[in-house]
Parts: sequence; C-alpha cells; structure tokens
Amino acid sequence: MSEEISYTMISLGCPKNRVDTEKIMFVMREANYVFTDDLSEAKVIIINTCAFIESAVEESINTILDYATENSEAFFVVAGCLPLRYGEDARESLPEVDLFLEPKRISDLPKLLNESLKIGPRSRNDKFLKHVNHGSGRILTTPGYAYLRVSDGCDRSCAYCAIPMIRGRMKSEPIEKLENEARELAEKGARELILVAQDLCSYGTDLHIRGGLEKLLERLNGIDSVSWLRLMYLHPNGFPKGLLDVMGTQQKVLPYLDIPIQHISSRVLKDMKRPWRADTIKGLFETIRNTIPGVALRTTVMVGYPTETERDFMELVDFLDYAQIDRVGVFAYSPEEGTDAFELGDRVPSEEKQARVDEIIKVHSEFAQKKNESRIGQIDKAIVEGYSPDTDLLLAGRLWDQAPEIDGNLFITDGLAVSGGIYSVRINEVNGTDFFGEIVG
Amino acid sequence: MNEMARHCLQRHHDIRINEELFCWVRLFCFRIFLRLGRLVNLRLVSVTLVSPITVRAISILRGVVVGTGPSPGGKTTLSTCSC
Repeated sequence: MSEEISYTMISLGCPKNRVDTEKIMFVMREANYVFTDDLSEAKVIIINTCAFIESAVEESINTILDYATENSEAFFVVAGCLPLRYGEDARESLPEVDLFLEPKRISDLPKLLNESLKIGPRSRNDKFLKHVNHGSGRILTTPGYAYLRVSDGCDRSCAYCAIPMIRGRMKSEPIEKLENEARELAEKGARELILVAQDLCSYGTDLHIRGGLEKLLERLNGIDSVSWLRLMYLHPNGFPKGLLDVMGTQQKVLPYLDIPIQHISSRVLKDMKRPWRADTIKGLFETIRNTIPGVALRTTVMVGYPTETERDFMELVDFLDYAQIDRVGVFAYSPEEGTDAFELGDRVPSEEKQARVDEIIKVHSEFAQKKNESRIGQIDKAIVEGYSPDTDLLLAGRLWDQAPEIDGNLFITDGLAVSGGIYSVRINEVNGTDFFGEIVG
Repeated sequence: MNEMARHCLQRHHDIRINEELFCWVRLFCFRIFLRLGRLVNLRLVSVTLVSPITVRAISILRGVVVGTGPSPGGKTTLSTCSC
C-alpha cells in the first residue's frame, strides 16, 4: 500500500458547498490521504471557497493567503466558487495556489495530486472514481443531519445575483440517484436530511419531471432511518402547487419552509427582476399558514438595493412587522461584477445600509423574543447533535423549527441522549434565538 | 482589474509590508541586544549558534561579510537583508 499523506481541508460558504467538501474528503480518504487538523503537518491544503458576494470573495482570499503564509511547503488546492467565477484571473492573482479544482473534477483530485506530488499510483482509485462519478461518495461532516443537494445552478435571472454566472444553468440530480445518496447518508447516521438547491421549487424541470419536488419527497419519506426532511431555499415564484399536500401526507417533511423573498416592494422586486409582486408573496404566506397550522416560516431579505427608497424600505419593515415570520435573515446589498444590477452602481451609502439592516433585526428580534418566550413550558421534538461546543456539561441540538447554523441552538441541561437521536424536550428558558430545555421522552 | 484581483493585490501588499516590518523589528531588537552586550562587555562567540536571520542582521550592522557556519563551498556570503 502507498504511503499515507496528510491533508487539511477548510470549507467556506453555504451548505451546497459543504456537499462538495464532503465529496472531496471522500475521494481523499479513498486514495489513502489522511485528514489532519494540524496545519503545520499537512502536506496538502484544500480550501473549498465561496465567491457569490464581495465579502465572501475577500474571506476566501484571506483564508488562502493566511494558510499559504502559515505553511508554504504544502501543496495548495483551491476548489469551489472562486475558480469558477474568476478562472484565469484567479490563477494569475494567486500564485501561491498549485491547483484550482472545479467541482466537476473532484473525482480527479487524487490523480492530479499524485502527478503533482510525484507519488505512485494508488490501487483503490478506479473503484472509488466510479463510485464518486455516480455522486454518492461523501464523508458526513455534520452530526445527525446531512445536506442533500438536489440540483446545482440556477435558471433565474435576479438582477443582483452572480450565482448563475458562477454555477451555470440548473442541473437536477435524478430522483433515483438522490434516493440512493439519501440511503447512504442515513446509513452513516443522518436522521435529518436537508434538501438544498439554488432553487428547490424548480427541481426536476430540466429533467422534464412534473411535480419533481413532490415526487422526490415521497421517495425520501420512505427511507426508514430518516426521521426529518427539511426544505430550504424555495423561491416564492413557482412554489409547487402540490407541495403543501405532500407536507400534509408525508409525515417526515417538517412544517418548516425557507422562502427567500428579498423584498416586498413591488417596484424594487421589479427592478430586481424577480417577476412577482407583493400581493403574490402575501397570498402565498397566507395560503401556507391556512393549510399547515403551526408552520414555521423563514425568509431572507436584502436592503440597500440601488433603487430602494426610504419608502420601499419602510414597506418592507411594515410587512415583516405584520407578517410575523418566524425566522428572518437580512443582508445588505453588495454590487457584484457581471450582474445586471452592477450597472446601477452602489447608490445607498454603507452607513445607511447598515442602519437598515439594524432596523430589520430590531423589528424581527422583538417579535421573535416574544414568540420564543411563549414556548417556555412547551414540549417539542428536537434532534441532539452532541455535546455543546462550549462545555461538556450541556448537550446541544436543535428544535424541529431550527435549521443548522442559522436558526440558533437548543441546549439541553438534563437527560441522556445519543448524537443524531430525536427526543421530546421541555423548553425551560429562552435567550434570543437559543433555547434551553430538558429531555422528557 | 476585478474585485478579486484588487483584493489579492492588496493582501499581497499587506503581507509584504508585514514581513518587512517584522524583519526590521527583529533587527531593532538585535541592535539593542548588541548594545546591551557591549555594556556588559560580552562578545558574540559564535555566529553558528544563531539563526540565519540574525546572521543577516549582524552582517548589516557590522557592514562586513560574516559566515553562517560550515558549508560545502566555504562561507556563504550575505550582504543584503533579503527578508
């Protein structure tokens, strides 16, 4: 057997990128590379980058140069959106990087490394290459849950968004392949599967599958060891008609919907090239709440778009105050080169953008705090992920209406649990978006 | 030039400045060390025991060529700070 070579890996960006990270880790393990978290001893450094907004590009570059400075001897690989977005420019600007890896070439990585590091061929390559090419080879890096990327790329043309430019047109994975991947993830300990895509609503349209998302959910619902299915990133336009029915009949689909509206002003939405109006969004939320009582809604909004006026912004604030959406993410507009909106300039000053972000957070926090406090004493289902990162005296997990990393945590002060287990938890205390509770069953 | 290239350029510049600054801080500290050494009438007995960077600093301070210890071709000549 060939000698073992250590590598380290950093994953930046969104859950969709994390799926690629897990695939890279799988091919590395199968090729006998050994993961280490000690940067100084790593012979290979891999950074899976994000580049969809300027701040993400900066973070990626800073991480690359920090690591390259820290360990200049290692072979340096950069994967993800940075090379996809900037191609040759990235190669010229970052001479520290030895190899830029596009997602479609993940399975070739060991071969490319072997050639570059001048090490002998590895006997296991052929076997795992076939496996990876069929899309199922992943190392699970998340406790008790896994992201299932059902499609990549996006066919929409939102004026501010660089994703279609980076990731290309939408390409859905076939249902059978996703079901197999889901079964493998379940075998590795994932009790919750989180379906992610740039545009979950359009899943399967490129494969000419009618009602693709609903059909996929019915298949995933049949996997015994999976308990929860969570849906993230549903565009308000094109929300599948049958989805609410499926959520009613397929018990494992959580009543949790992440629908990024970006704005509520019809004028701003039109400028953003998001072809729907305020009434459409309000009507959709009303229908969802009437059909699925107790549903948890999450949305994302963007403030400081070049054509957003104070009046537009107040319309958004009023809407959020009225709609009482359970979770709200808010971002300041970032002008991205190559997008239609870039031509409009960056008209809203940074201080004003930040003030608008703060105002949205304030309005939402007041509502969220009251709603969260009203849950004290209630018993709800929760998934346990393991010990709290801060102390072994607490267990950490999430209530059913908390998505990982963005919706806060649940800290368990009493009870026994296994990682990935789903339990009934009595909520005893609330602190912002975090809950404290005890296992009662 | 795009945002990515601009940021790379800026970071490379920052890294270079940091490295140069770090080099001069080390040089400054060594200068003080030498002065203190003179005060207590100490002499540097062996440059082979100090790091190459210190040797480079010595070469600048003393304005002479110094050796870094045994090497196959004899002495290694260092006349500039290459930090």
